[in-house]
Amino acid sequence: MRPLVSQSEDPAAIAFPGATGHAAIAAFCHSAHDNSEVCPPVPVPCQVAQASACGVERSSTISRLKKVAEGVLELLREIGDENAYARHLSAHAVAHSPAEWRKCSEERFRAKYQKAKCC
Amino acid sequence: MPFFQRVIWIALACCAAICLGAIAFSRGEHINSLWLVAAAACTYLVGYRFYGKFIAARVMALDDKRATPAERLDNGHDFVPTNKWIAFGHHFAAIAGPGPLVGPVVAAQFGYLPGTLWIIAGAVLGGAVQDFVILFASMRRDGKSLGQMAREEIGKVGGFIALVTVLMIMIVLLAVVALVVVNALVGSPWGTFTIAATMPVALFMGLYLRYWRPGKVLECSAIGFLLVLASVFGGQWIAGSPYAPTFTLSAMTLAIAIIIYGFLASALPVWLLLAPRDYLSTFVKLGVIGMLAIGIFVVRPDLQMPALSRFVDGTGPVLAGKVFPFCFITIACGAVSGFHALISSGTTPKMISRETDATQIGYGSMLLESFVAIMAMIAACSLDPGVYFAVNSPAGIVGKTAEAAVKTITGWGFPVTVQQMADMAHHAGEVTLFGRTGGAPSLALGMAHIFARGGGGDAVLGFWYHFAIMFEALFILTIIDAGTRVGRFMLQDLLGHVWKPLGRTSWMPGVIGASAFVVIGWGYFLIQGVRDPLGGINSLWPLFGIANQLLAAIALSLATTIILKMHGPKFMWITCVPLVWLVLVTFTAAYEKIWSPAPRIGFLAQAAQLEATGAATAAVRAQIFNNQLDAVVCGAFMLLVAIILLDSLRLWFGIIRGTAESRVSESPFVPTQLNAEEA
Repeated sequence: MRPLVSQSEDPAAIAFPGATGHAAIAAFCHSAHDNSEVCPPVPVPCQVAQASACGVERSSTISRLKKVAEGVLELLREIGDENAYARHLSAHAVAHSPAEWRKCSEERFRAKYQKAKCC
Repeated sequence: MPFFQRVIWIALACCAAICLGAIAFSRGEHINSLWLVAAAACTYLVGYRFYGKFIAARVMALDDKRATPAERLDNGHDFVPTNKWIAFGHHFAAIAGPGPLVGPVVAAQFGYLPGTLWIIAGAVLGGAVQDFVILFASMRRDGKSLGQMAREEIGKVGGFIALVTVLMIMIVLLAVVALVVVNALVGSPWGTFTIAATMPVALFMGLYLRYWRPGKVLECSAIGFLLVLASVFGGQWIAGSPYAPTFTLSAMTLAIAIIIYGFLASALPVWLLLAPRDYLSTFVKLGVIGMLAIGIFVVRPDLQMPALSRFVDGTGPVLAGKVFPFCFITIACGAVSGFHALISSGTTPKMISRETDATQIGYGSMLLESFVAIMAMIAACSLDPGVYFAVNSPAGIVGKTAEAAVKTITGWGFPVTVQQMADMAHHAGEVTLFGRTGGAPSLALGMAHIFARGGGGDAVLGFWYHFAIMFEALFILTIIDAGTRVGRFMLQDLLGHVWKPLGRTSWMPGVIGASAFVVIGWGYFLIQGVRDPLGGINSLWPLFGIANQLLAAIALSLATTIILKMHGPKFMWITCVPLVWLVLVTFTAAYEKIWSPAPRIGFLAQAAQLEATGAATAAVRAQIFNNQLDAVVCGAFMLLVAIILLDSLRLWFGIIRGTAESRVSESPFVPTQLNAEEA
């Protein structure tokens, strides 16, 4: 493990006098793209170190989770025949109405329940 | 393949080998369930990446430039190009039924090892291959059904026999799953109220969806789920109230109630009961399977059952017969299931937008289903073995009183006490858990323990037990309802050739008559199971397993014929190996079920034993007749499949010799427009 340098000889603190501790180290590493001994071996809190990179990572994680959730919802809609109904409305160029739903679901059920359900 | 990827795959293969070795060679100490999970997951990944992809590339030569039926015949209804993950989920939801949950629980009597190895190997080398090849074949033939393909590729005999076999299997299947529900609810006011309450909930959902909020299926299902959850709590209240005796029903009363229900439900409009409950049960099923997976990862229970129990010798109380062949027919869904071939040649091939998606959907879904079976095995084997056998052994084997049962089971080397069972029944909210055969109660108990250990402990055991029973019964009742309806359609289709009005699905006398005929068919076997002193599961589950695996033999015969026509004998082994194994297993099991001299195994031996007692009561005469009938049904299954096999063999030899036509009847190649549009 690389040792952290003391505060007095810390080049990061010299380079960024306003910042202290982790913030100074993070700012130094970030600005210099430095991988020298000064850069901490321990993870630096996300808020201060490479904030923009963390932000990108977080937002990409969120967007990935969002995508998964959307996928699950889409699957539930497919299983629940809501997607089939949407396709029915667009294929026949009609607006949603109770009568259209009944027509669509009856057609769908007729095909669906002519086949055995799996054991 | 890049070096790094190669290292990862070698590591996964080594991990699979180490975990399989650990579960296979571990003796005398409890192993953690994560060994099973890791063994299964690593084997599936390696199997999918190498075997599945090999079949896709070399045997099927899947071609993304070729338009699928979903694209060519897109009609917005059944033919619709669908995202592969959605098609995967849809297909998995369609193939996952009670089979992969109940079968492993029943087979756990042999110990966890035989069932686990069969589930993993059977799925990778047999079940997934069957599902994948049939899905591919149907996709290349405009989504044709198994029967249609059998007729075109093998001959008219094959097609007709496939139809008759499916009808017979359905009769046996419906009886078995109904018996599972009966055994789960007998003497349980909490469970009976909960399940009874799902009927008005489904009716409410039907009306809600039809008249109040048309098209809002997810919203309606969410409300339905809250209502069935409330019914679980309501059941707890009922069990402690003066109304408890009203919902404490005998096995025979429950059987009659389910028969009446089956008849009414199949004659009622689909939108009123079947469809809303089908939506709900599918969502609940997917949710509970996900919950169980998370529960197993969080709790990581130790397996209490030995790797191999003493019952591999055929003297098992849950199901009589040696580990070979009976373990392999007890676990059908989860390893190899012929029923999946019906789904793979039904809705799914009409949804696939790109040919290469078929690997994930056909091969991958079966692997996931197999993983569900592994989870069921873990849930059953994490129970104390004494408790497992006390729950699953019929009174006819272990004795009618609690004291007699614990003495017998403890004598087998699986210690259990009356107090232990009483405490467990108390926590589960039941009067007793002795003799609750069928697999569903012990699965529910295993699941409840896993969920309760995740938080709440014994205080919430009763809730989770009845939640699991509700989950199992919910989709079993949907299968009964839909199965009776499908049986009625098939029967009307056949009878329509005799007299045209009988074939009309809108002619009420025809509808009622055919429904009654189908209900009487499975109802007869259900009553037989209820009356059987050895527990109906002992006779009916093997019958169902044999039938289901024989259907798989038909599907694999068709798959072999198609591969033979495509490539000659070069790749025949891919489907021939599982086919030979299944024929060996099912024919041995069927032979033993008919001819074994052991009365608990052989139907005819049991009939002879009953005759030898000299008792001429109506009940004994009925038992003798039932055993003879089971033997005839078993023999009929063997005969039908033997005809298809011989017909296929004749064709295969003809193709290899060059005397039979080897033209595949695929739809002509049409280039896809989807990729062009995407580009």
